[in-house]
Amino acid sequence: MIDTEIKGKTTKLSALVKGIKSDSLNIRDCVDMHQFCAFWGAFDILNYFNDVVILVHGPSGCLGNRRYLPAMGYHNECDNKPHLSTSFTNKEVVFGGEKKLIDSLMEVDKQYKSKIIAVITNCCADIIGDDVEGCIEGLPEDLRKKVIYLNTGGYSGKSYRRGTEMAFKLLTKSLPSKKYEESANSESKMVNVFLRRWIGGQTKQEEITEIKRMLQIIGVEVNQLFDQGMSIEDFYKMQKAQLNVAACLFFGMGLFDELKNKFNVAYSESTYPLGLFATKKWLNEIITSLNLNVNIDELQEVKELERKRKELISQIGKGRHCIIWTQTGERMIALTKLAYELEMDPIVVGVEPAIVKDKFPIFEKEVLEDGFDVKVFVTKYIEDVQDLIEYLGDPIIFCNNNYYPGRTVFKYKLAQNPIYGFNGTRKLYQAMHDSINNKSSKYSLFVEG
Amino acid sequence: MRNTTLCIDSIEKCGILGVSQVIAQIENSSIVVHGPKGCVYPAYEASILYPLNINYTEMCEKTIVFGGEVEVSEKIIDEFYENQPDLMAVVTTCASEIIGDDIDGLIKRADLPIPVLRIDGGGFLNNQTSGMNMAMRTLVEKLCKEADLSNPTVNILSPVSMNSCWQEDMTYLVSLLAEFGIMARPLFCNASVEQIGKYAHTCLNVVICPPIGFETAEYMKKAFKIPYITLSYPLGMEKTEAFIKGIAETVQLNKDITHLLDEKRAMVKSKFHNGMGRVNSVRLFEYIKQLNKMIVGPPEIALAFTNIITKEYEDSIGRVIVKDVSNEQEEEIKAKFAKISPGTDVLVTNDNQIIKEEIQNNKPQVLLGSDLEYYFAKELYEPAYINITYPGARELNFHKRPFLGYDGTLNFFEVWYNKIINRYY
Repeated sequence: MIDTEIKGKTTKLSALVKGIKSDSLNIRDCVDMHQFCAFWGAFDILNYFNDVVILVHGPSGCLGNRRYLPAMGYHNECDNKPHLSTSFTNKEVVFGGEKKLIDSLMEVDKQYKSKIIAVITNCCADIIGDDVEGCIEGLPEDLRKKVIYLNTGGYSGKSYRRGTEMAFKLLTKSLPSKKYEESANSESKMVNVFLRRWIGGQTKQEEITEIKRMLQIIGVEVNQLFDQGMSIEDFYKMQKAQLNVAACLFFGMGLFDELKNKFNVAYSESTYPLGLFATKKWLNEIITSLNLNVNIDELQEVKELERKRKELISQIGKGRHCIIWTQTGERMIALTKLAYELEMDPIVVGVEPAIVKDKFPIFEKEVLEDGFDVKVFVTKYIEDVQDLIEYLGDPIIFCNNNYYPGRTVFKYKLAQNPIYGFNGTRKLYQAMHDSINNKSSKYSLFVEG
Repeated sequence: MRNTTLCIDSIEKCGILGVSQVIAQIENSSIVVHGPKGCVYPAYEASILYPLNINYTEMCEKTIVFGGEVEVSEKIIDEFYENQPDLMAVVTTCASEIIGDDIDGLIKRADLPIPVLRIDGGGFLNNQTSGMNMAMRTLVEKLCKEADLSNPTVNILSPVSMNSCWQEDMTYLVSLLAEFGIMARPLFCNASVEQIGKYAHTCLNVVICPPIGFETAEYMKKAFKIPYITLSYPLGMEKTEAFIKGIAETVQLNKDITHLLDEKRAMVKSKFHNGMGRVNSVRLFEYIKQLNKMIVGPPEIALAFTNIITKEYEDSIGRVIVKDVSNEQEEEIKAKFAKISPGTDVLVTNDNQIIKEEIQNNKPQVLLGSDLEYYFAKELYEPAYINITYPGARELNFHKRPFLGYDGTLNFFEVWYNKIINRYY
């Protein structure tokens, strides 16, 4: 590909975002398997709670699909909790499933004795218009009090994220509206922490440990961690905190908005503490919000990381080109910021305009409000990216799938490795150092071609 | 018929998965899912194991109210030009089924030079198994134009995606039958559109894992007068022999195969004794026999593994959980197990929570089933786990070996033995 072709395919992210905002672009759909429908989002959030039993009103197929996700790389995890449904057949579709819902609620209550029974619907029940609210209203008092419901049929076009927001709203609505009365020491500063989506195992534990450690350094305690296996009581206790913070703000924002509206708990708008600068920004925002007297630049750990950063820049070569090919969204933005932190000249490839549109609040905030921008090479084809690599000379390639033997490839899988905080930064820097010193070998099983 | 009186944790995924798994067996094929975004996932899951192009119409409120026919038309054309498939399946979902978009009409209007088929995947109509059957039958119905009963080839209805080595099983069975002078082909196993078009050029259909393939066999009998037989899943020497004899008798094979059958059986035993003699003694078998064992699977599979373990490995199975979406055949199923292993407790269920309870209460030391059953067990303890049904994603298998037939008897034995001794001894 020649110079003019490369330049012809290069634009800025801000131009893309503005084009999407003004609806002046013709965007093709794409299959993004991380963006399911509202049903999945709502189920995932309600499923966090050990004392909530979820009953899906509709066919059982949707539930079967989500239990075990080897296709998403989760072949070492399986959701063993009950996946209950009213198991619609064509009989329910034609004649309605309301009686079945009522009978099922009685049965679930008898068998599971949970604090809350959450009824969510999928497409069938919503389209045929089963009166879920009416069914619940007609239940005996004791049972009625513990049932909450949501219409979450995927046909509504609402995304996974929207489903999570609906579930957060429903949960918060079901909490008593008076402030949690346990007396709290007004001197102690407490935050609630919201982790990133779909993280588990050792990686999750490391990230939790790191977040708690960093917060402790600045004199802040963790009130509640929004995590799998929490109880409704834990959720209720979230109102005790002075601030909500998130590793991934856009996933937790739905909950944070509700907690702010109902209990006036503020939240930090800083997100994705990946890399030294982003971690410092994340902590500084907490420090400012809680009026803490801490200067994190004076911390020995930060000074050490700053020294390492400068060393790494020297190894990489200031202004070195880098190509970033990752999932469109916060990860892409976070990795680009990391590239800027290491004084590289990044260009992003494989950006899906349909996903930018779907995740527009993220891009609107980052790009249009906060001024983040980066060059975009408009392609998703490996051959074009290889031409770009040739054109740029010796860029570092940030990617998950390695098609580039003999090149410097930074392949630190964000989903399976700790990335946040100072600990995450150390690991990222080390991984970058290793990548510079070990070009990818054509004999590696993990290098394609 | 499914049990509709209880709310259940269903053992089956939705029809879209079953349909996609079958379509993925066709070379250069595409699926267009006419439904909301969430319905694409099962098609995506099928595409992980086998190549399959996927597109979808992303139904939303507007399309529910006003219809999604424009979107379907666009996607069909889009997919044709994007990936140039040899065959396309438009899979309906709950939403598109309820509103009744005229998919057949749209397909006709598109008038593409490739077969474009409409297949119902909606969860209230089809589960994974019936979706599979629906796809198989539709393919035959639309692609097979004429029959040729004089063709001596025997069709074997493949249990698509039943386990991780099902394709190797089918390939092996075909070559095994060839040794006996019987020409055979596996249906829906890496097939081209052209090959599917000739599926009715056969003298016999053989169903080995009902209900998979049963509906297709019935259809071909009605439409083309092609007879079919149902034979036991050919796992182990006894059932393999029955499989070969069953086909040979039905096609009236003009040769005595007794000698060859005896030879095959002797060869397996010789390999077994030679293999054991060099490396191991039979001492550990006595310890293995003392372990508490459980099998979880659909009726034919659970029965076949119970048979091979009790009869041919001379071991015992304490408990079998049969996964069956319909509870109507419970007594019949239990009777079959009682015949081959009277000491085995059998539970028939369509509910994953019941399966989980059974596993966690009984804590079998040896567990044969799918990864789901393994994870139910793993919550409390670690069994010796052998994967025998879908999904089986935990372990890598670059060199898959068949479990069926004569070779399979020893292949499975190796896995069985090694898994158990690595866990316990």
